[in-house]
Parts: sequence; C-alpha cells; structure tokens
Amino acid sequence: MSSIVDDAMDFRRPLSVVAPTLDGDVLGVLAGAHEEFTGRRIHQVLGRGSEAGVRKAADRLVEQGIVTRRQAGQAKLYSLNRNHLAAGCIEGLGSLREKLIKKLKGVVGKWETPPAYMALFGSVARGEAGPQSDLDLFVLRPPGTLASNPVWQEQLAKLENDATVWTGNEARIVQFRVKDLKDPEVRKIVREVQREGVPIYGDPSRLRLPLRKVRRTA
Amino acid sequence: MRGRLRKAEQFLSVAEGLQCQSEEGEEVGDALVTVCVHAGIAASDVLCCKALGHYVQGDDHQQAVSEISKITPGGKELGKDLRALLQMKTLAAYAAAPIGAGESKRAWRKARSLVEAARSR
Repeated sequence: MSSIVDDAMDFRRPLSVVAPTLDGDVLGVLAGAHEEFTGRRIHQVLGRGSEAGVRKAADRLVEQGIVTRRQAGQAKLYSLNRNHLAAGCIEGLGSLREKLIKKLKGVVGKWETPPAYMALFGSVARGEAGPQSDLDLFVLRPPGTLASNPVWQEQLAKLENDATVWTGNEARIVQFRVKDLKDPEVRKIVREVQREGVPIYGDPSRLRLPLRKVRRTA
Repeated sequence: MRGRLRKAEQFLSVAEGLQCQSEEGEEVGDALVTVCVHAGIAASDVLCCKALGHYVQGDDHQQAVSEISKITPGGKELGKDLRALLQMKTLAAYAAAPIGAGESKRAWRKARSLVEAARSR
C-alpha cells in the first residue's frame, strides 16, 4: 500500500523538517536544553558530522542571531538565543514527537467508543524513527465491541489517516481483543509494548494476564 | 549509554513485577521503591548524556535534579520526578516504617516516566 504523503518525518532529527543540514542539527541540540555548550559538547551530543563542521555551523547561527556565543577562557560557549523571535518555533520543531503524543491522546480521549488500552510502540516510541519508519499503534479493543462495529472501524480508519498526514510516516494500527492477550504470538507484541510503548489511552496494567490462583495445600 | 538504559529497563521490569505483587496485597513497598529509585537514576543519567553530553557522577542528588531540569521539553517535570524518587530512597532503605502501596505506586509511575523519556529521547 502506498503512503498518502510522499515525505515523512525523521524523529531523530526533527528540525530536518525545515533545515536538513548540520545547522539544523546544531539548533536541535541547543534547543534541547537550557544550557551553554562548547563546540565539542554539541558534537558529542549530535554524534555526527565533524567537530570543526559543528563549530562552523554554530558560528553561522551566531551570525544570524539565533545562537549566542560567550567566551569563557579558551572556550566558546554556545546557547540558543531564547529571546529571538524564531526561538519558540525552533523549540516547537524540536519537540514534534511530544506534540504527536499529545495530539494522539487528545483525539483518542474524545472517542465515542474508547479502547481498553492504546499505546504508541516501535521505532517512533523509541525515538529512532526515520523517514521510512511506520508509526505503530497498539490497540486493545474494549470487551463487547466487535471489530465490525462501524463506529469503532471509523475511529480507527480516521486515526490511521490523520496520524499519517500529521507526520508523513505511515500509521499502522494493530488491534487485539482482551482475550487475545493469552495467545503466545500476541504476547510477543504485548511484551514489546510493555517494554517500550508510550501509553496513549488507558492503564498499561490492562496488558497483564490475570494471575493464576494457586491452591495452597496444608 | 546503552548499557545504562538496559539497566534502567531491567530495574523497571523488576518494579513492574513488584507492583503486581503490591496490587495483590503483598507488603513489597520498600523493595519496589528501591528498584524504582535505581531505574530513575539510571534513566536520568541516560537523559543527561543524550541532551547535555554529560551526567552527574557521585551522590550529589541536588546537582542531578538541577541538570535534568535543563532539558527541554519536559525537563522540569523530569526533575520533579527524580527529586521525588530520591526523597523516597532514604525512607525505603533505612526507615523502620514500611512504605505503603500508594506511595510505592507513585514511585513506580515516576520511574516509568523517566525510563520512557530516556528510551525515546
């Protein structure tokens, strides 16, 4: 199935949406903390490019006024100029993943037929998603609601479509019934969701299997 | 930092099991809080390394809270979570009175949010 949008988001480099260069990456690091960074520290956090390249990019950003530079002994310390008119936009771009989670929670929270549980999982949840990654959503269907229920189907279809448009990454929903949780194959996915999933709706304890009652013998 | 993250996840996984026991009525609050504190500290180290390029070594808890609070977005909340966990650490480890189920559940939630942030940042 082809995606409804051609280009997708790189969750590892959110500023690449508008600045797919080293300058964008440097801005992403500086926007990620209220802190002054040396060129070496920026390079260390970034983990790509050369240290000299990172310094040049930081100096270019200083020229544009979005980054401030302070001399401290031998070191040059860079930080995001949070008084700059563009600073809010840059911080916003740096937190696209958090915005996505908030948006998903907001939408699902208003569903007419809410799920028993929903979580984001896979590479987007781990913060490792690139432009080719899918946006994986785990959904536990509430007891008493059939998969063929038109309201339920419409909700899922709309969410899949909307989430794909929000990010460019193709949204994929996997849904199970509560009684499917005992299935060993389903347990594999559930364990992944338990380990790394970001809860969107409901309590993760819904994924636990009921404890077996042990008969005590005298 | 992958090793540190794996430790955070390992502690959280043990905490999950203890939380189940706690919900079954077993008195495991002190053990639960202690592993949550370990999970939270390991997750905080990962977060600081990823965002700031360094982390606080040693036992200076105030400094650790201050460093994690610099992270954007969400640093203030993460700092509050870590501070709350560190405050519970001494009570869980050394105080005579057992930690109740409500308090230990609070520790579990805070550890979970720190580990989740460390995993996904």
